[in-house]
Amino acid sequence: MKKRIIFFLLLIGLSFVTHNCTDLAEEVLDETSATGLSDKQAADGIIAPVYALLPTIFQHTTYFSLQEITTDEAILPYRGGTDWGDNGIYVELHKHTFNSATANVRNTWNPILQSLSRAVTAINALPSNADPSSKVYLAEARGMRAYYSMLTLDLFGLVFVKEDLGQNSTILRGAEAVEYIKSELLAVEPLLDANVGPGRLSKGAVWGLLARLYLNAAVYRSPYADSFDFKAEDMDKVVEYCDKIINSGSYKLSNDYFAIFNDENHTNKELIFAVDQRAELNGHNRMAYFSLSGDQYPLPNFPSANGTDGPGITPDYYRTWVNAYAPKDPSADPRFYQQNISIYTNPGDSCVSGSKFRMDRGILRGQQYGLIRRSGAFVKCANGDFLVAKLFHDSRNKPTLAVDFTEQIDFTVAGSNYNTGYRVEKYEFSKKSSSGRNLGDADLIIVRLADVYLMRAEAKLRKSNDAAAALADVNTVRAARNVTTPPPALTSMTSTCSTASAGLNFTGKCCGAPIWSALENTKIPGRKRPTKTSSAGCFRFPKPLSTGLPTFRAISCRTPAINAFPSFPLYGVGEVWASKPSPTVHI
Amino acid sequence: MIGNITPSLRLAKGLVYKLNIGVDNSASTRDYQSLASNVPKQDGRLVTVSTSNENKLVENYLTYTLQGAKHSLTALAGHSYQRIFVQGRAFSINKFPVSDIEPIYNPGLGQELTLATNKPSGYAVVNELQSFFSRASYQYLGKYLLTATVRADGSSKFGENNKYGIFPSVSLGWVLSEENFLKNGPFTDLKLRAGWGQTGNQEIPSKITQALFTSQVSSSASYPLAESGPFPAGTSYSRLANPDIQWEVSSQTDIGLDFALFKGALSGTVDYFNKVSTDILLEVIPADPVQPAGTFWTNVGDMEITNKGLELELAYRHGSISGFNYSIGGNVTFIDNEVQGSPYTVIPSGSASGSGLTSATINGYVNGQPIGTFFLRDFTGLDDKGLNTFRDANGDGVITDLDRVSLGSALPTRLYNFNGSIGYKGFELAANFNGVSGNKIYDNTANANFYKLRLSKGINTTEEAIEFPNESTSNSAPVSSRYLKDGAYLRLNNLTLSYSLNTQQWGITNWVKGLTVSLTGQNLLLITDYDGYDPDVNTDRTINGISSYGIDYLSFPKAKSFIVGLNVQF
Repeated sequence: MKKRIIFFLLLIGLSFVTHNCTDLAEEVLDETSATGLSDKQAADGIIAPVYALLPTIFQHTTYFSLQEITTDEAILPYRGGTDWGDNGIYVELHKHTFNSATANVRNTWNPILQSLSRAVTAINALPSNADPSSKVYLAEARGMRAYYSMLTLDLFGLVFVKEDLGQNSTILRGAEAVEYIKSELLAVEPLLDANVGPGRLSKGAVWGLLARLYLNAAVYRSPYADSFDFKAEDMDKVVEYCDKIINSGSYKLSNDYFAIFNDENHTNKELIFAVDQRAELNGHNRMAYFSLSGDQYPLPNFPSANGTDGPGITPDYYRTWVNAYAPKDPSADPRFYQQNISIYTNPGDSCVSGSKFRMDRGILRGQQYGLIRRSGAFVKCANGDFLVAKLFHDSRNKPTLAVDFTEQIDFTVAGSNYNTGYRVEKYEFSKKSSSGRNLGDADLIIVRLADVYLMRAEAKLRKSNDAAAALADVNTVRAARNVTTPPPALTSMTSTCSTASAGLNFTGKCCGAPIWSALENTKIPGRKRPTKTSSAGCFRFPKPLSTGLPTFRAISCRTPAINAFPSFPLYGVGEVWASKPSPTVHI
Repeated sequence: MIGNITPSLRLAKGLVYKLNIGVDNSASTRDYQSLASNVPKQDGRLVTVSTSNENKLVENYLTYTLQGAKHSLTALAGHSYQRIFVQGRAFSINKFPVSDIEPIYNPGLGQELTLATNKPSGYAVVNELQSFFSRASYQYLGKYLLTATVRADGSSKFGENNKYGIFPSVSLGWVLSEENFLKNGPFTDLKLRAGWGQTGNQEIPSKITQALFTSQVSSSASYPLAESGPFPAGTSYSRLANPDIQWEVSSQTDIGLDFALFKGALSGTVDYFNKVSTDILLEVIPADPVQPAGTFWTNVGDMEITNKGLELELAYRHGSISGFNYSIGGNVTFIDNEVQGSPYTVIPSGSASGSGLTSATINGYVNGQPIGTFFLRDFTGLDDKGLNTFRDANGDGVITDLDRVSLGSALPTRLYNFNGSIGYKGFELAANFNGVSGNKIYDNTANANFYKLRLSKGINTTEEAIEFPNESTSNSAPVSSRYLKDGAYLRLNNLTLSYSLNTQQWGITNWVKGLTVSLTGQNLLLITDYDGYDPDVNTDRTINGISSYGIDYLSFPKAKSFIVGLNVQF
């Protein structure tokens, strides 16, 4: 018996050697919450994430898709029946039959809301930080919260007010939302630094955002109104903030339009507020990649960096350019097209050295020429230069289908082939982008000086129909692009042009429209939206149109999208969160 | 490596202590290499992924057995502890030159190694489980049976206040055939059973109870704050904490009857079961969207999943002195599954695959429907232009994702199988069939590949693409009920013909005790309306840990096989 007891104790002992009676506290091996940071590291560490998701928000499939493909400026058909089908979401976006379940809406919504929460975290954490930079950072965090709120107001018709991460948000809409954003921007304006560059929120950036807010205020206050009341005092404020920017002397119009969108644009003095993209950290090349053909390879160094045959411009949009310059070709405007591949005008230039080959910019039409890729490498001439020749859709296994961009592009079989639609290469194809998708370097512009001039012109025109003052501002912008022959000055500003903004846009001529400027030019009249065809509850996502624009083709009027979005809980239920998810939530 | 030791020790009469220590370790390394080549131009690359898994189990228990003339009692009390450690790491190196050395044999030949393209990755998680359990079984006169258990299961995955779940169960049995009033009845065996019990589910990722606040230089957390110099490490929440998350609980009730008649020649069982799962563990979006992360894991409050049904089994055996014998048997299960009380209109799962189907979902958890329900637009044929039409379920005049409706489930409502054999003097022919009905299958393969638009693009497809002569060649093929198909089937699983030599008759028993020759055919016959390869399919298209059901995407059919067997016993 004694032996047995000893053996028993031995066994018990063995079982305790192999393990202890556990308290089941979870052991975390591969992650640690940050500790031991200096005040400076903590301050930097808490402000950086507030900005960090901007490149994600401004991706080709997120904000850009919601803001461009929903307009006549861009259309993305199911290419060749193989590409960009995505269960019809790009067709839905263009036809305005999308809803909250559309992935692009969700994928735009999520990073904006996440950024808002990061701003709240920073606002909660920075006051107790002793580092000298923390005061400016706190102002930036609060200002960025106002900027993200502007995005939610602009896209979804509401803002979330949240002062502490632990509490639930309050929802504001309409005039209250405008007041909230305005008061937040005004509160931080004196505390911000004027000289942090375009990548962070500066005094100048806040002035630009305030001008934009006042210019849009009439629409933001009652987005479903029959007509909009652009109040004189709002327009005065637009002029006031634009004046501050222009008179500050800190910014300068670029003499080369496309340089504004080059890899090195961070130092371009025209930029006021932008997403600071660095190839080494956070840059994507999606803006430059999205529209190009899958058989266009812009970089001699990278034989897998191509386009994707994404969206083209619609014929209606293209015609705004043609009409503006008829009988001349719209390329008379240096902002329409910049030829960099010489073979178009000099057929003998079929061999180009790698250092000299650069993609054309602007709107690309017709047969495209470029580097020829065979078996994963570019074909070279006898002298070692790169062969430049007619492009075909080799990557689609259609070696006889030329990369010949056509004006017609639509959702029919013929209209949705790989080569349909004129394309846009506005941003420079990042020289570092080894995959064509990654490693972007160009800052993505949110506010630039030309926009400020045009906002001021529009405000003057709206307030007192001061066409002369408006013309002066518009022509200032046009004349500034003088690295080559600048676009001709406008001589008159008709009322159609004035309300339709077309006369106020970057192409500068009545009814020409800026190239894919969703990010930089969100003022209402610059955007083409479906017209209202019935009185109650017409769908106007993301913003109502102004008057005088052509109707959106074949699109019927819809119920307001905002209230129909079930994935954003409690819209239309009340202004305060309930404690549980509403009964109509999609995940 | 698997090891197990189970010493036991009798401490006193009827009292036994047992210890069970088990170890199950495994490690694997996978290398992915791309060989460099000039034509086509391709750089070499090597990715090495190693994973390891250590599973340790320790169980202590005491069993007490008391065997009396009329009573018999077995009591057990125990403790178990399990620790599961899972680790993975991945490294890569790029730009191997064209060479006859394979990258796996000399990774050092790679010419490029940067954090931008070769950032190593890895993870390591520990999950601990600890249980205290007890069980008592009592029998009286071999007729009345009672078993009761209580266990407290603890998991490190749950919150401080909810680590343990208490899961009791009780079951009763009554052997009616032992009762005097039935002793002389037709029943060889008749037993009534009833039971109720609870079990817990802890299948969530690790670390859900702990918020993660990391500081790192990454594209999603950092941002340039200065014109030059290093980028700051951004401090951000990567995960929302749910400190109160707890066990999902399933309560199951069973009532059953076992019977045997005619000296066991006819036997069968009838079982009714009803399982209700509550505190369902799901990854959901928070009510207030201003959150550091878009989703979090929680026990969805009022949601319940019920799985109930009836199972019947019958078997009959007949043997005769003439050497002729046969048997026949079968069982059928009727299942009714339903989701109730979900606060969500739909919890989507089952992401569609294929060109043009990005972001579309196929399954959905919807109130009043079984799990695995197909939640789709209802295809109503083609219009006069040969384009798709769908039912406008919400009546808003346009067809959107809001018009998706529940159109049946991947879970069968009936499962059955039957078997039979006949034998005569050493020869035996046995067959086994199984089948399901009441279920549907989403043919994602057809959705992604067999539609008319592909013809107009000159891409290969099948006859299914020209099913509708008036279909326009520009008609698209979004996810819809058009590709939802009946999944019922009946399969001849197994057919065996065998002959056993009568070794006694041949007088070779001294050398060979038994000798059997057999020919078996597997999966010889499949009767189904499903026109994909095989209706017994479930391609995993899970979204956010929410299972998908009944999706067929590029799956292989089950093999038909023939096996010739020779079985010799010495």
